[in-house]
Amino acid sequence: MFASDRLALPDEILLSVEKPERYIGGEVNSVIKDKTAVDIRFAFCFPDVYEIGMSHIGIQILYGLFNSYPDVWCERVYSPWTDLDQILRDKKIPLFTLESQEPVRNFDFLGFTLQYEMCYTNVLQVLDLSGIPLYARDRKDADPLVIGGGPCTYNPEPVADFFDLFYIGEGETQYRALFDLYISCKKSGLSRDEILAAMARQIPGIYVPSLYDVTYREDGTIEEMRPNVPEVPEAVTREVVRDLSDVYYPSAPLVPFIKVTQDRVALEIMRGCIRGCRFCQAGQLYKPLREKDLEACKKSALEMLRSTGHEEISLCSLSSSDYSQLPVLLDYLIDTAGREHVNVSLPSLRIDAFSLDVMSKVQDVKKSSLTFAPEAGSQRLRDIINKGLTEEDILHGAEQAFLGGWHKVKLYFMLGLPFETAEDIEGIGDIANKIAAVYFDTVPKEARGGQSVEITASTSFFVPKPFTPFQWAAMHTKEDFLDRAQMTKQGIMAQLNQKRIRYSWHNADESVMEGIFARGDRRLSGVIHKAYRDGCMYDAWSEQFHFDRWMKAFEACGLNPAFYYLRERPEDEVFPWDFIDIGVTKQFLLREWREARAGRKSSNCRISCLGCGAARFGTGICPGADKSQPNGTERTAV
Amino acid sequence: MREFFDYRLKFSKNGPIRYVGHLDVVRYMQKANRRAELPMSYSEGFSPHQILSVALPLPVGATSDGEYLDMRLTQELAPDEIVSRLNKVMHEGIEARDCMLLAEHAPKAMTVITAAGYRMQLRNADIFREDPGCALKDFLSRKEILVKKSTKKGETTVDLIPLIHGWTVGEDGELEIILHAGSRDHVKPALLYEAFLGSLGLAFQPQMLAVHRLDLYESPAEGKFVPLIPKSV
Repeated sequence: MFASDRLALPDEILLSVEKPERYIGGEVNSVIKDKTAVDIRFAFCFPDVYEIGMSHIGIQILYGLFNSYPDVWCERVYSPWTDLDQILRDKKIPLFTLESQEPVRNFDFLGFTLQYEMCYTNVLQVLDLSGIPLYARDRKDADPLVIGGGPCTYNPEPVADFFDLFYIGEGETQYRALFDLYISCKKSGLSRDEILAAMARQIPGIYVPSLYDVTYREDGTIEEMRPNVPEVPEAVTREVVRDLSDVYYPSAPLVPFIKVTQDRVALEIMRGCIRGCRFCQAGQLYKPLREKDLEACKKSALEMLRSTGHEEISLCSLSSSDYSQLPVLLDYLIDTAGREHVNVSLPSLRIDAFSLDVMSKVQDVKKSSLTFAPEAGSQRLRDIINKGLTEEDILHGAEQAFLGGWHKVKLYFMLGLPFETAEDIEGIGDIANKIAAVYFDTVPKEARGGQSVEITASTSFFVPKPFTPFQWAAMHTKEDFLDRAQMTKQGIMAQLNQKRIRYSWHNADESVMEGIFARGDRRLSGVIHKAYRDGCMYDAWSEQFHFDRWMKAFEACGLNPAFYYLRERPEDEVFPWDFIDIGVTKQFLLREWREARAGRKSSNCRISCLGCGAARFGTGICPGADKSQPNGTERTAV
Repeated sequence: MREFFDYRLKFSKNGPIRYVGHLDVVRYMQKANRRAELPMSYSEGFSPHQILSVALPLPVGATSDGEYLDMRLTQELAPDEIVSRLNKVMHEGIEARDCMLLAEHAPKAMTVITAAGYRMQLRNADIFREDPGCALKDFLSRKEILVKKSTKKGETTVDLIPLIHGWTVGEDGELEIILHAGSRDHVKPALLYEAFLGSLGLAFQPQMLAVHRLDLYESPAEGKFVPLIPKSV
């Protein structure tokens, strides 16, 4: 009785899985094209469940950009949840994209955004369900080119064997050139290998792992990594957008039917960060700080609100308080959008008089909580990690907040930071207690309205990441991490105001795996493959994560996990990611590592240039920046 | 001078969007209203929301030509204009069909509903040994159809026959039926088929049944059923 429609799955399957909306596509602002009228079909995958993937701003940008090209049709695919995964395997139904509902394996490109290390087995899941060989070396000319992007590609080596190529850097600049080259190669009848070599040679930011050989020393560290064919760059330089106000940004983002993690308009106001927190990878990867100008932000905000109908807008950047036009932009948004019942949601701002004033306009102070991220419990350790937040800042901010009517405070810390001592850990309970004391001193009993201060302290375990000053640091064992969490807990329990403080900590197993992948090398591809075959998938979901299977996979592959995470690296070690040039130099990171060891803070980009190396991109906050250069120019000479 | 204007909107839900659940349809309509720049009335407070309500939730997977939404506007607009503004920003599968301005303080659609019309068919007719149409006719012609229904107070037994307000069975076993609906004695389509298959000793699963809702009705007089937006308003 129902006309057959465009869906890949029959009703019987869709009605038997959780949230069928994940698989039907057709969302507002999704793009349908005539497949016979395009030269390139690109399947864009976020290798996690739909609700997570749809919340990612990067896909929204590239989806819009690619579909703005008349000769390209970009579609989306996400990891099917475990229920549908099993059905697709049992019934041998090939994985399909949401828009056309056609098999992924018929596409020209399959692009993955790698946002966190724990998604690697889901990459294999998507390849497997699509019927694409898992290893790049086994693929034939008719298989899609499998391309990776996103923060994890700054050390792509653990998944190097599964990818044909990686795009290193910001996607807006080189994809057009990459597509043009692909079209001309196809017209010339070039083979898969020839196309990949041409891309590696001609397109800045492209890394083709099969064109590089790695040799190892006896101790397991890397001796050398070199191209195995001529004219392929020895170092791949990160692609950087020069002018954020003049680069593509979607005016009509996708609007999912289902409630997703970020159910709002996301307005990117800035890229990069001036603050050199030594644990933070994003802070180094996206240098230099580049602002989108105020008028571009206003225009973009209104366009997106009109085209989506969203009732909330959120500002995106690494540290919004550093956006020079923030007060003007917020006033504008609260004034114009607020009148139309649009809620302005504020990202983690530095807590000061200004931000409290703004927040009190857009939030219910009785219900909302304020977040501080001291990251470490003592001033000594905060100096070591170069987190420019003092206890005085926190206590003063808390006092202002309590006067403004807030009574809920969230505190974020990391455990296992380099050079951490018992005193640093005890400091966590201490600062939480002091905040509670500030509340009792600031808010008289009769003004509390039957409520009291609620402090939530949470700790995550520190994972050293590539391209940070802590890339040389050792991580700790699971047992050591849990001991530190116990110490933190005891430290809190010993406080006078302990009844007002709640404490939670992350799963240590997952942090250990993340640490192994983050600084891993090519040999880990075999471990990931083995773990996937043994049933690992959705490792980012605690209830799906099986640490024991991973340890068995290491054993089967003859690799020792301790090598990857428990060692402090010598200063002269060659890292798997050294062939990538992010602009920030290894010498600078080493200098910062030594400064950390000496317990000394560093400046930030706004106060003085630290000479990190990113100035050679010639844009943003860097001295001598020249924004008049167009976006997507030729590779800068290095 | 009225401060606000309540409208009743009729819309259809067809195609892949049938998998979008009830609450997500509400969210979809809120966003569509914003894209259409309708002068929606909002509640007070820190998280204001549009004042609207759906007449009767539709099960996931069912299609419909008779969904209704009551919504409050701050200005008076011609009902046709509301329909055309919405259809300009609607997406595949959801279409505004009709609209009418309600009288001040008119009761909400969800409180006046008395019945719902459906077209239904079992997806795998091969589970039957005999003609499914005949079996269904026989079943519906019974003097009583007793079913167990779970309510807040526990399980009760209900006779479906007085809650069926007319039916026809097509040759291929396609059923068109008007079932009692609303806050009291509501009959879900699945309940009827569960009883039907049960009478044949067969087990029922929701994915076996294709459901299309035809319209929702109110009863201006006992035993009389007219669509919530009467035709040719």
